[in-house]
Amino acid sequence: MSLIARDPWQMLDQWRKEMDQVLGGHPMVRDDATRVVGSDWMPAVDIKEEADRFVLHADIPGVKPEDIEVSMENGVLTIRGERRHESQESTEGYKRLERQHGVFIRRFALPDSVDPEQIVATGKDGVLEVALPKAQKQQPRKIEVKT
Amino acid sequence: MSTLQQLHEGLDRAWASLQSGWRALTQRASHALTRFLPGDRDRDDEDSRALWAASPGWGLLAAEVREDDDEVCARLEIPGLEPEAIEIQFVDGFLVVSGEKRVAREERRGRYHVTERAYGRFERALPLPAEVDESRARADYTHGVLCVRLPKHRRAAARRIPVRGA
Repeated sequence: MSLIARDPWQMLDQWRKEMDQVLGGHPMVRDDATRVVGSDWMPAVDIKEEADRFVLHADIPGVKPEDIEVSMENGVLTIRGERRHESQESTEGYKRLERQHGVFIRRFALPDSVDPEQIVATGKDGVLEVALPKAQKQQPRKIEVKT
Repeated sequence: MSTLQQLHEGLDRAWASLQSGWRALTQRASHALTRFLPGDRDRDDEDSRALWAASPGWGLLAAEVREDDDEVCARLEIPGLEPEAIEIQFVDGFLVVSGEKRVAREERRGRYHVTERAYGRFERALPLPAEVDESRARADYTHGVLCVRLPKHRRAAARRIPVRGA
């Protein structure tokens, strides 16, 4: 076995790519738009592309669907809300506290193909589903070359 | 300073910051970090199998346990489950919650761009801070949060013991 079988710079590059993947992810969530100052926690999401739409699922347990705000502006989808404590119970008596409370904000840059007028959001059992239908395909326009 | 030295120091700093972040994360969330194993349906259906392969395999099931004079109240964040798919047991002073998070049946074929949510079978055991009467346990599931209320055993409930003088 040779210890110098691989070019260290190549390894460093590979490591950088892996770190990029860990810290960055997909282009849809990679740009800094998804990291929002003032967000206390971040819900985990899945984004799936189907033939005629995108579907986003976000785990937001402990927040009523009516307390989740979904908005679309300049091609950016924003999910925002707040997880409050279940009741006005005092903070005494807690033997274990792993849950995070407070404001969450997450933003996603959407592809141009999404029709912002047709977006539908539903909440059930702590999961938010946002259906983002793609706009009708634009017919390629042929431009005549004049002579 | 040579470029290599700068790179070395930069990496050292990045590593130290990564380590301290990791320590903070594990201190806060290590107990909530739960392994998700493939469920029965994930093995036979092609789409579920693909999703399970892409999903992290670990999920955070954050819990909250509160005790007052009469009862112990445990809350667990497990979004996206059918209430019937949640199993609750009591084993040697532990509350054991298990279940399976599945891909919704009506989902159509497609390609996943982002997969941060965990799927499959999970189990989480929470130590109970007092002796409880499990026969009187009540559980409900609202907005993805399971809430189990466990009345304390009468003998475990707080009791004043008068001290008599000789």
